Amino acid sequence: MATERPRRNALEWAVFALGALLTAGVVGYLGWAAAQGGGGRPDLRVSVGAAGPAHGQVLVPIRVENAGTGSAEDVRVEVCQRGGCAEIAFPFVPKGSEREGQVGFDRAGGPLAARVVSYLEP
Amino acid sequence: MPSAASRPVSASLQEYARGVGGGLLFSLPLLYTMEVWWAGHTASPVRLLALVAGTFILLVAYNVVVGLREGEELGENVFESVEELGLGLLVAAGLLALVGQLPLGGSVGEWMGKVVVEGMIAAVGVSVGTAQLGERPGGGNGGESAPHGSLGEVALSFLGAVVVAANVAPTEEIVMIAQEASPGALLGLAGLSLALAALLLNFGAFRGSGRLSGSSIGPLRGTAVTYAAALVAATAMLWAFGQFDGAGLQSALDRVVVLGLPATLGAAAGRLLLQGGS
Repeated sequence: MATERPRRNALEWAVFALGALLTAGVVGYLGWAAAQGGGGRPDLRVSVGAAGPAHGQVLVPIRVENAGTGSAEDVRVEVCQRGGCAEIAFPFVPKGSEREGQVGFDRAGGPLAARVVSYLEP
Repeated sequence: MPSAASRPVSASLQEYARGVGGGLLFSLPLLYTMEVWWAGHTASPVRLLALVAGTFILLVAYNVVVGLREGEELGENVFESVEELGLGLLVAAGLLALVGQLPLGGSVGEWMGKVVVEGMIAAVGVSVGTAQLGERPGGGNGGESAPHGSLGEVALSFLGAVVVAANVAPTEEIVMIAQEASPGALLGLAGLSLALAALLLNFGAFRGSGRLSGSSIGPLRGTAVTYAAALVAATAMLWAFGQFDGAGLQSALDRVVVLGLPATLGAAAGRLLLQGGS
């Protein structure tokens, strides 16, 4: 059954323009990212924030940044102070991203040192 | 014959509402699936580009097959496909933000990967929703779809396979089943896939299967073509979701056969359900 196609109204043109813009933006970004290269190794950096008391223990904020060109999976960070260590795990730290968390100690114990213990390359 | 006046805005809004509804219906299970989020930020830009290109071609092919007006030009189908891509990306971005998968500490690359992977799934849902969830022009379910040859039927099989199997393609269970299945079990899965395709297409008297008797493909060839389309769709989906990374040829083939079962069901059902008309 052949029906003549009605002309497109302004809304349809607007949705088309939005779709074209979004698609062009996505393709443009991906093309640029592909030209940059990558799919390389993660580069993880850990930073430790100021410890704060909470409910009878001390909580230390931890931030992990991945400045590399590859994502890291199952990132384990160990934070040590005089008197003991604690560990925190991040399921995923994608390339160019950061994740935050907190580790707890019974009491403040002087200077804190943090290191990445292990991670997987997915 | 209707004149070539502008279509009323309310009709367009209704169509977009159906599309968004279809997009949500189709992509919500995957939006709640961790492996798809991970696939988003572990996929390389080249893979994401291929996903966008492949989805666009699939949308155009599907719009050509279910074209509601005979002789609809390719330009019209491309127009609709671009609309569907845009709506899919918006739906995906909105829902990902709502479920907290676009964290403030995330990079543009992470956001882009997740939005693209989920957006392409949503775009397919928008296309199917627009075509399937509304009334045909002229009312009810009447009218014939634009005639399409064997290429159109292959496109429908492919789309049906994607609609059904995309929900499980990114999951760990596919890899686990493939790893633990014996060669006999894998052969059984392949045989079951073929038998189900033959049943749905030729012998089950399902709604719409009568139409296929006038199709351009005979029953045996129809079954084979359906299974082949399902295997190609399964391969494409597994690759898109990174399920071949680090796998040898044997492991990869095992995974294709495992995903081939839901993909074949979708491909066979797709040919019955996704065609326009009664």
